[in-house]
Amino acid sequence: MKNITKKFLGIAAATLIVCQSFAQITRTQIHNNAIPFTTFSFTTTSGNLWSNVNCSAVGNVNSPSWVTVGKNSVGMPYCWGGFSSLASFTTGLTKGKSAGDNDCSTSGDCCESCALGVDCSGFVSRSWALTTKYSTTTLPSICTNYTSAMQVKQGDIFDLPGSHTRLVDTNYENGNFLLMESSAVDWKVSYRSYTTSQLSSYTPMYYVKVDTGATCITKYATLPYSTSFETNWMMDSCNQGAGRIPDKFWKSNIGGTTPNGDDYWHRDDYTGADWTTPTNGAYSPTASKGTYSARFHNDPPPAGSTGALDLYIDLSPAGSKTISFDYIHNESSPSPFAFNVLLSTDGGSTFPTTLMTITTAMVSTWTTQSCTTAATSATSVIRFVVTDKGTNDVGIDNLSIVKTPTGIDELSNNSNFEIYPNPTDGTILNGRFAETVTGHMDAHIYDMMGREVFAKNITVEGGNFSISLAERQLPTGTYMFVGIMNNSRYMKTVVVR
Amino acid sequence: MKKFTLMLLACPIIAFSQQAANNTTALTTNVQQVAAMKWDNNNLIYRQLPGANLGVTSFEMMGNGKIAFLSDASNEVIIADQTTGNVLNRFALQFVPRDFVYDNGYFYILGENNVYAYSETGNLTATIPYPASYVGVERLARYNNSTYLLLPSGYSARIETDGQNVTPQGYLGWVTQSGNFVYTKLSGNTYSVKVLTTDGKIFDKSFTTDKKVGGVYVVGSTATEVVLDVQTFITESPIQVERHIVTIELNANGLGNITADSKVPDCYYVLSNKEISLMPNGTIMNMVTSPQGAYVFALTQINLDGKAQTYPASLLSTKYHFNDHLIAVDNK
Repeated sequence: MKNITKKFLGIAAATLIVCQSFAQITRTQIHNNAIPFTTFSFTTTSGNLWSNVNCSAVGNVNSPSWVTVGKNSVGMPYCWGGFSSLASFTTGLTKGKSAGDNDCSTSGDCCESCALGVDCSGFVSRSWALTTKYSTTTLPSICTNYTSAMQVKQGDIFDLPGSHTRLVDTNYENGNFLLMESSAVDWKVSYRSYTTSQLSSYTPMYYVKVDTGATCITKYATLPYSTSFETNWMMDSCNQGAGRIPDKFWKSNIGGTTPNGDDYWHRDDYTGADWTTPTNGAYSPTASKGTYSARFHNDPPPAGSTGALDLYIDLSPAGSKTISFDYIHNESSPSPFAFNVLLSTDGGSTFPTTLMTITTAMVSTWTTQSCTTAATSATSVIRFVVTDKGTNDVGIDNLSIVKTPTGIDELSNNSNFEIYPNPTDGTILNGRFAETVTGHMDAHIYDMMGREVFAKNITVEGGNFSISLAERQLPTGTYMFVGIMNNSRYMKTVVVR
Repeated sequence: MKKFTLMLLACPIIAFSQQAANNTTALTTNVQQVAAMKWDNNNLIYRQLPGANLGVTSFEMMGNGKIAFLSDASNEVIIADQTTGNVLNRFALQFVPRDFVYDNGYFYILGENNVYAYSETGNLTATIPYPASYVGVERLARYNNSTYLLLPSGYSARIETDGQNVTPQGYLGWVTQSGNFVYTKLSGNTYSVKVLTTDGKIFDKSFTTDKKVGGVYVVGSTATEVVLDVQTFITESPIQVERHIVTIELNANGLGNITADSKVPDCYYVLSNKEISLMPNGTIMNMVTSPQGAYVFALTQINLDGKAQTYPASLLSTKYHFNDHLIAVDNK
C-alpha cells in the first residue's frame, strides 16, 4: 500500500510539473518574496504550541522551542514538507495548528492539517512564486545548472537533490555566499553565509523563468526627464545588484579604483548587503524634495572608494539642455574627494566631457547645482561619479534634465544685463542694464522643466527694474529669467535658495 | 575517552611537506594532536537534521590545558580538559550559536542578532546587539577590548568597545589578533591579499594557484605572518574543493613569500564555522571532525631536518563530507 501511494504521489508530482504554467520573475521579485519569510512576525497562543502531539496523518508534531506564547516570534518556522504562505500560516494559527514542527521522525509532518511552516524547498517554491511545492529533487527540473558556483546571483539556488536547497541572496565573489534557507539549524527561515567548502556537493543553478542577463537592455530616457528618487529602486540586471538603480534608464557602476569596496549608490534608506553600516554617514534632511534621495555611501572605509550612477538619456533635440540637481555633503575635511558630472555621447563607452565638478569642501545643506550641455547624441550617458573619504555620505536629489527654454543659446552670454541678488531668497529680483534704458519689458521665469512660473509686463526706468516674487513662493531651485524688450531678449539663470 | 585519544595518537606518522604553487619557501609542517572529544550523547552531541549535520561549530583554546567547544547541536558551551577530554564545565545557551571567542576570561558568543558575553561559569554578563542589516554573520573576533563582527563581505564591523555598545563602524578586511586587517579577493587562479597594519601601512600581493580559487578566508595574522584558508576547486558544479592552510610572510616592507602550505584532511563530519585559528605565538590550530569525534591539531613549522608528524593516517584516508550524509528529506 505504501509503495502504491508513493508511486501515485510520484505520478502526481510529475503531472504537476507538466501542467503548471510558470511566469517570468525578476531577481528582485524573488528577493522581495523571500525577505518576508525572514522578517515575518507572528503571535501564538498555547494552542499553537504542540508538544509531541500525534497527528494521525503524519505522526508526531512538535513546535520548535523558539516559538513562545504571547510574544512576537520572528521568522517563518521550519516544517518538513511545509508550503505555507504568510497568509495561510496566519490563518492556520487561528485554527489552532502548530507553529512549525521539529519532529523529523516522520516525513511530511507539515501537511497543513496539523502544522504550519515551510521546509527548504517550500521556501524556495514560495520565493519563486510557484503555485505548487517543488522538492529538492524536482527543483532541478525547472532549473539550469551553472558551470561554476562563482556565477550564482540573487534568486538562484544551491541545490542538493534529496537533501537540501538554499536561496542565494548575495554572492560576494570572495568565496562567501549569503544565503537564505529554511533549515533545522534554527528551525526557521533565516540568513546564513557559507564558504565554498561548506557547500560541497551542492549544484548552483538558476530558475529557468528568472530574468537573466537578457533583461540587461539599455534604455534611454527622453527629455524632459526628472526624478526625486522616491520610488523603490530596482535591480540593476546589467551589474546584478538589488536596489541599485532609480528606474530602468539607469545603471550602477563601481569605480574600480583602489580601494574597491562595496560602495554603490542607493536610495538613502537602503539597508541591503552593499552597505554594511548604513546608519553611518547619513545626512539630514534625507531629501530636498520628497522623502528620499540618491546617496553614495562609502562605509566601511578606508577612504577613496569610487562609485558611479549612469543615466542613459536621449539628448537628440537641438539646443542646450540644462541639468539641475540638489546636492549635499556634510563633510568639513573631505579629502580624498571628487564629485563630477560626466558626459558620454557614445552610449557610455567613453566619458570625455566633464559637465561639472564640485570642489566646495563642505555643502552642509541641500544646494542646487546646474550645468548645461549642447550635446545632441541620442545615446548620451550622464554619469554622476563620486570619490569619497567615507565619513559623511554624498547625496543628490531633485534631478532634472530639460531642454533649455528657447533663446538661451543665443543670449545666455548677454553681458549688458545682470540680475541681482543671485542667488535670491525668492522674495525679490532686481535687474540692471549697462545702458540707461527706459520702457516696458515682458518678464518671464521658467523652472528647469521649462514651465513658466512667472510672467508680467514690468517697467524699466533708468536701466533698472524690480520684481516682487514673494507671492509666488518659488521653491528652491534653478530658474531661467527671460526678458523681452525692444525686440531684444535678455536671459539669465537665477537660483532661489 | 582517554583510550580513544591515545588510539588516534598512535596512528602511523608520515613525514609531510606541502609546497605552494609559487612564491614558496620549503618548510615542513609538524602536526600534533592536542585535543580530542568523541561524539557522545552525554558530552559532545551529534545531530543529523534536515539541511545540516551538527556537532561543533567552533572551538577555542583557553590556555591552562583547557579547550572549549561551541555546540550548535545542543546549544551549549562545553569546556573540557585538553589532555583527557573530560568535561570540566558546560552551560546552555538560549539561542542557536554561530561562533565564539574566548577573551580575558569571557566567552563572546555570536547569535543571530546579538553577541552575548558569558563568564567561564556560564553567567550571562552582557548582551551586545547589532543592527538587523547585518544578516548571515557567522564569525566574530575580539581585538583591543573590542568586539567585531567578521562579515561575509570581507569587512569587519566594530560593535562594542570597553563594555560599551557603539554605533557599528566598518573596516576593510577581517580584524586579526595582531590588529592587522586582512582582506582577500579572487580572480580565476589568482588571489590577492591586502593587509592594513596597525601603523597605517597597506600591503598588497597576489598569489597564483594551480587550480581555480573557490575562496580565500582569513585565519589570522601576527606581526610576521598572515595565515589563510585557501580553497581551490576540484569541480565547480557540483562543488568540490580542497583546502590548504597557507602561511605568508609579513615584514616591515610588505607581504613576502608563502612559507608553509598544508592540505587539510578531506574529512568534515559536521558543519563548522571556525575550524582553523591562529594562536598569538604563530601556532595554527585545526579542528577536524570525523565520524568518531572532534580532534584539534597544532600545526607548527620546523626545519626540514626535523622529523615531522602529520595528520593521523586514519583521518587522511577518510573522505567524508557531511553534505553527502544529510537526511534524505525527499525520500522518507
